[in-house]
Amino acid sequence: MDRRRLGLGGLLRHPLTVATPSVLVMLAFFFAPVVITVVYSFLTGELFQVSRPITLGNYESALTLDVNRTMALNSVIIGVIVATVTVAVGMPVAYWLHFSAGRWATPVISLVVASMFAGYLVRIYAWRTVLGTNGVINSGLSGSGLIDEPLGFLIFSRAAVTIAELHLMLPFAIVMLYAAIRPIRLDHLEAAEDLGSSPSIRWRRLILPLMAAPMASAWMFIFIVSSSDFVTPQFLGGLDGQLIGTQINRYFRESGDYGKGAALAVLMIVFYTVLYLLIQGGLRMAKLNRIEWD
Amino acid sequence: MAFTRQVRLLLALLLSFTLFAAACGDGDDSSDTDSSEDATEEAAAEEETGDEAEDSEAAAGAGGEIDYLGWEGYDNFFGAADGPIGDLGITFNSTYMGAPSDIASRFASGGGEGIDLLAWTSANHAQYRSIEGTLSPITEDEVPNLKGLVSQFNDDTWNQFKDDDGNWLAIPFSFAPLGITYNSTAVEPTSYADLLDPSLTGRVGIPDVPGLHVQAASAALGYQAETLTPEELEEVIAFMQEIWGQARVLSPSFGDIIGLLNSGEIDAAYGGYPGLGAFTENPDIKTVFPSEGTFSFVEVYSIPAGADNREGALAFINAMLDPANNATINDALAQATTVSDAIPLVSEANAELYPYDDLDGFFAENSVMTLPGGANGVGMGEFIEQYGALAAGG
Repeated sequence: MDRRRLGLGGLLRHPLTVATPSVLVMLAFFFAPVVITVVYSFLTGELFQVSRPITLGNYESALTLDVNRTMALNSVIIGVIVATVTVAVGMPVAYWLHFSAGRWATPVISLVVASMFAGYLVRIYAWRTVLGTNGVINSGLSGSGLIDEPLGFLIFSRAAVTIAELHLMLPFAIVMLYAAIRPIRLDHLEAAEDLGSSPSIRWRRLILPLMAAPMASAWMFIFIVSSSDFVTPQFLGGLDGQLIGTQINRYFRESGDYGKGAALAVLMIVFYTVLYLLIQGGLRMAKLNRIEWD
Repeated sequence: MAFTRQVRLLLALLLSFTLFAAACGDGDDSSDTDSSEDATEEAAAEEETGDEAEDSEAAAGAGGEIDYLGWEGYDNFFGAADGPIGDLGITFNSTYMGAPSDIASRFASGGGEGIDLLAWTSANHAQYRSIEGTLSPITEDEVPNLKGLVSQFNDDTWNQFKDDDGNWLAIPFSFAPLGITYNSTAVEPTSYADLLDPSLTGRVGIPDVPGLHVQAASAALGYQAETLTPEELEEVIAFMQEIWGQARVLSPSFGDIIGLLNSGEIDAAYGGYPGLGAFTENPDIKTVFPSEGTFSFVEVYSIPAGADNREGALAFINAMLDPANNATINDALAQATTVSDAIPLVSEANAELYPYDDLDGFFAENSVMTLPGGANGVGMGEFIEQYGALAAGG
């Protein structure tokens, strides 16, 4: 018989107590909707409803329709570009903020966070002002005599969606990577320097290994958010910049075919899960998945 | 595992609170345990409260609170207290939708309980009738102003508004024919064919409103969108494909289209209604009904079967069909009135936008908006898949 006495403090600090609210929230707002979506994906869609018989037709449609493949490819291309560029830019910024910015670190990171305060749609519309036919870039180039006709590809294109997503996602990358790099002490760099390592070796053999897992997490997060976006493509995408989220939205909100929409959504979840497992596997093989700070 | 005294004390407090709350009840059945003195005091208080409620009701009218679900702006045109519906004493508890499908999906999942009034678009209404039991039929006695509707709406020429018994499921209060909205300094189209002019390549805006496209193409080709066959759908898609080849952008809304016309991003929009020009200071933004034919969207009110305040909703709808009120709201919306006696009352600007002079002739040639119903093998799902392919540049 366990005779240990559990005090109030101990009870509140018990792992089960601490984890319970998060677990309940995840069960209610993540796990349950995912289960419902999976169930829907195997049922026959009617008008804004699903019913029996059970079918694989939704998956067949999702996998064979050209439009789905086109939009999925767009999503992957834009997601990879946005995630890679934002992490590549965010990492040096985080490094500078932590090791070199000194008293500027707080104001700069505050500005990065403040840039997210402007509404999502406001920032998308701002890009229209910048990239538009009569926008800042075209007017500037035209005024300086560099172009005779406005550059039409700047807006309502895959390029426009990519540029806007880069802008929307970069603050997230910087904040995530800055939070991850803070435990690395200057002592580590100084010790490496004292041992004769050059800046590139310090970057390659000290910083990157320690930051690999956080960078992978940031990459994955930004990839998921940017590749599944359906609002930015609506405002900036034209006909060649539509992403897979747009098609899912149409199934759910226009045709009311919950079965097909759910099948596409489940395939996206599966794709993201496989990608996540591959990244984790890669980190594990490179022995970069578990970092001991002390 | 044992608990310390602190934990036992906490548990005891929680138990005591639970028992105390249970003993108090919700107040409705507490009179059973009241002493006679308490009961007398409570009766006096109730009488006083009742008097106040009566006074309040008399002051506010019989409208009460209406739980509204629908387009933003169709719920409270004149303010709760002032203006023509002030006497009804209606206050709105409103939920606005992003698309008409929000109504259908909500009712299909059983989430429509307690909603008193819906405002949506007739094309969607025709589809949503398949969700049985969601709407409460309305008789003409319940909304006396229905008799003032323009004859095509009153007769339900297009089988959009009434059930098989002749009772109203959707009451039209506003409409607008759709056409080509354009910047007249750049182009003067008169037909969809004009949009194919090489000078407009990459200068046409396409609203991302699938229902609009299936109806526009069907109307242009002489088909009924509601009863499309697979062969007709192929032609509809081919028609759309040709015009979409000229497209610069797939725009999320009519408001966005106006912004694009104003900023010079596009010169014409495949889809748009005359009132759109009223929402911009630019007099060069105009709308033409294409020679291939047009169609109208019709805004309607419905009352769900589970409405708590059906009387209030009926009173509101009746007020909205009052000629003076209807003219005022359609002036504000820059849309056309559905009420005959409101036609002479609309503003000069509104009268210039719509074919009030010959509504009979106009409606003889042009229908109202419908969506594929699936009767001949083409439902909205079949259309959306092809639409998605076009939207992805296919």
